[in-house]
Amino acid sequence: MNTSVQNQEHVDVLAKKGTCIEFFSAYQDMDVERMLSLCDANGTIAFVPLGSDYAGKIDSVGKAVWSALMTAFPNLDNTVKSQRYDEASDAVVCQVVIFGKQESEFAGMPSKGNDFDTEHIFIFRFNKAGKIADINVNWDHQSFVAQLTK
Amino acid sequence: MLYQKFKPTASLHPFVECYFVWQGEAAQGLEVQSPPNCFSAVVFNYADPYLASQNNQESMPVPRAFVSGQFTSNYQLSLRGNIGMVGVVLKPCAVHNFFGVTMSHLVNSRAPLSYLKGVAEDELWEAVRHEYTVEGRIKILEDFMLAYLNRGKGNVSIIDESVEYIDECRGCVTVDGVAAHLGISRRYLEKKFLEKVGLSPKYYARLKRFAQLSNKIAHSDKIDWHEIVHEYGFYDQSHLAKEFLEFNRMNPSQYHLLHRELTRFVKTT
Repeated sequence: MNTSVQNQEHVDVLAKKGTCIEFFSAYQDMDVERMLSLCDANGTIAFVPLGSDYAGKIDSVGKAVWSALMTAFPNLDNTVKSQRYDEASDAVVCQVVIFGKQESEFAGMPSKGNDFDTEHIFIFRFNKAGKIADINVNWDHQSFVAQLTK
Repeated sequence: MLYQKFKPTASLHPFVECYFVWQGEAAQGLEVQSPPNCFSAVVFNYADPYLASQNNQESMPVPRAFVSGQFTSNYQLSLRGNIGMVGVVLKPCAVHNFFGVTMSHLVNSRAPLSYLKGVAEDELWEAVRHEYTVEGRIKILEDFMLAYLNRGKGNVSIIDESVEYIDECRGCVTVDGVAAHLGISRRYLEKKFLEKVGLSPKYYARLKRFAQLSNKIAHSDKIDWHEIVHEYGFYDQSHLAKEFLEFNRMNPSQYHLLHRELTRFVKTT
């Protein structure tokens, strides 16, 4: 492979990792529309621990979950602990701690005013235009529920 | 082992924090942990290759000459053999101002220097490698920075002021507070800050508070944790410990013990 092709690949990887940072920055700014603007209009998402009811299109399932989270946890925030490009799957894997204090009901759990702090793994895949085409989100849901209901 | 910092010439003060040189031997191998520090960097390695990893992820080879943006959490360097590197520590907006880079693309990354358009990586690296004095190597870096100074000055904007304000407040300020201080909208601040710094202003402020705190802990003989909790606006000691663990993978007391020794070896010129 010649140097210019290698450099172009490197630029593409940096751009993908950058899009993930832009996504988490928009998440931190509580700006769902900006999060969605980084995604393909037909992009898909799966909130793995919640099952098939919470898998579908980013602009419906993703939007609904993030909006509900931001309403229930008005100080929702995140720490990006690592980012890694996985060449085999052409995906960016991000370890992200999401945290906040519950102020109103979320997913059937009434607010007890508790804080949560849960490590998530986000796996982002991209289309040819560099938009996010698929997001797979995983976390320890039992721990999340236990923190909110204790 | 030599780790020495050098101040830049006055005209570069708004953009360059310092230059550094690090030379020595690590025949048995050396692991170095580094917390995020809110700066970006250009670094040349003229000795043996080394590896870097973030948060215990797989280690990756570090390019011989690279530009890096902000790091969102602690990283680790694994060195073995001869250590020889020289670098420029840059203020948060400097890489964008000098080279026009969208800084979110450089977060948590070390990109080969050729990523910067128009920069002759091979030529610069050969010059650094074939120069045998520390002062000569620092001069190569300073001349490189000076060549882009006019462009850098031309790209200074209100976002540079917002970074200065967050720094003055040691990160203990809200995004609304920054926007109000500068008379700009929160949305404008968030959008432009991401482009020039690579992070949201909220994340940068958190990192700044952590970086200031880390520096204070590293340079103090005795720590009054209650005073630090109050001074840096944490709710309590557990909030401080949680923030520290997330960014740095160790608690504040461990960091204090580790770095109190290391900082004695750093010389500033």
